[in-house]
Amino acid sequence: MTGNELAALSIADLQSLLRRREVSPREVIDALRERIEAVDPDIGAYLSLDIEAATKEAEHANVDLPLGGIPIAIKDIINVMGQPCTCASKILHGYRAPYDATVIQKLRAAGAIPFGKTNLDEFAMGSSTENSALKSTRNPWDLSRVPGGSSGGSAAAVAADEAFGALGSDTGGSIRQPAALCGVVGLKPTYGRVSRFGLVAFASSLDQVGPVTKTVRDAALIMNAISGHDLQDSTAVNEPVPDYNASVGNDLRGVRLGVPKEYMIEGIDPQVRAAIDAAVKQLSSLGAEIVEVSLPSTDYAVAVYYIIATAEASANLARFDGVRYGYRAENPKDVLDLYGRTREEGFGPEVKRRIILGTYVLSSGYYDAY
Amino acid sequence: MAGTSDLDVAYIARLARINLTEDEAKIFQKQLDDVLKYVEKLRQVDVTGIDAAAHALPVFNVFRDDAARDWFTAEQALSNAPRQANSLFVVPKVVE
Repeated sequence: MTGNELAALSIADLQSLLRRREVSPREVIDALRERIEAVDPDIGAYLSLDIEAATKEAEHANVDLPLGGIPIAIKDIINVMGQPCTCASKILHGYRAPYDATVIQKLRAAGAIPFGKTNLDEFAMGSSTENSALKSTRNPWDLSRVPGGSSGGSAAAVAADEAFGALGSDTGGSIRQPAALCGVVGLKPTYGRVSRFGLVAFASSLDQVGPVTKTVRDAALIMNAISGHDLQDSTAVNEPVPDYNASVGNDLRGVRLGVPKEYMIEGIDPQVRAAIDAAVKQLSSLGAEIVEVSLPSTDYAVAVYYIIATAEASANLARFDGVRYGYRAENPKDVLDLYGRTREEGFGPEVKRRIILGTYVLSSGYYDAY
Repeated sequence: MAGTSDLDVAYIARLARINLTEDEAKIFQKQLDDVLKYVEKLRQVDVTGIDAAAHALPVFNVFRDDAARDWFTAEQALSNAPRQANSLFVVPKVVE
């Protein structure tokens, strides 16, 4: 099997090869590195790679664990111990994570190897990965197009066989939309299913970590590893986690699926509409009962998002002040000058806009209005 | 600065501790006025009879034992500090 063929495998297929000892974790890392060297100069999915650390971990990987020896790319807004975590922002220049996020601890416990940090819109604020302050990522299917965002690096890496699977984060579509634009599987888990401890917070009542993969089965494998209760994140609910793998490949008899009529609106791209219709038909042929449902508040979702997401972002991003980590403005004349210039020079325009809007909607008169 | 909403970008940016150039403030004023105008549509919604949907599960509060556990050492907590001395973060003088 060539390196390219190896890199093109799904997690499930790679797992079989690893367990039959037909390929070693070390060879998997080598294949991925070669693939990245060949295609990433054009695609730009990765912000940083630590091949040495990954190779070292591959040397003593236990391939019999649920994700044993499988490299997983990580959106660069999730802390991986010893690695940079830039959030694609200048303000985290030089920062190295002193701890592992809970999802990283869980991936490691399942035998996976966190591998490389992927590009995003700065602090996950955007839908194209063009708002990264560090580099732009292109869609592997057509380099003249965007990969979507904010988890555009994760989606592009998986689509281009530069990763077997990846973690992204989703606040208002940031996993699902780039997965759709890159033709891969993306899932925003139900709020509370996955711990956000170690995910740099954007809008805390909406943020979730989730998988980006080549197949649905692979998404189930990652969900099995990362889901569950966590004392470090009180919003991670204490509920049993089912074996997601057990439901993959079954028929859908007894499952009722709602198709919201408000989503099928004028102006939807005919190709997108056709793809949705085909999926509905497929699900129906597998035994699911399809019903039209109504979500009458849909039209207000974006307006609500503008208020909730920016308000929470303005509070969460107050921590970036040039004192404890990351970028600090030179020669501040006093502490207000330190804050004001660090944040002026460190944040990009979209982040500034959202912090300002969020600060405004939390100010007295406006807060009362909503 | 006068915009079409009550938002004064230059003032709010000071509250948010972000210095802005005049040009930036002007651009943001226009852009955020537009966003606020769009958001106005929420005033027209009649929410009587609509249940709040804050969470998929009936989760209201979470308690745990108030128990000490290992966490960062001072050295680890300071490992990313732009400036530090004597196991402390260094900032410009704040009192005269």
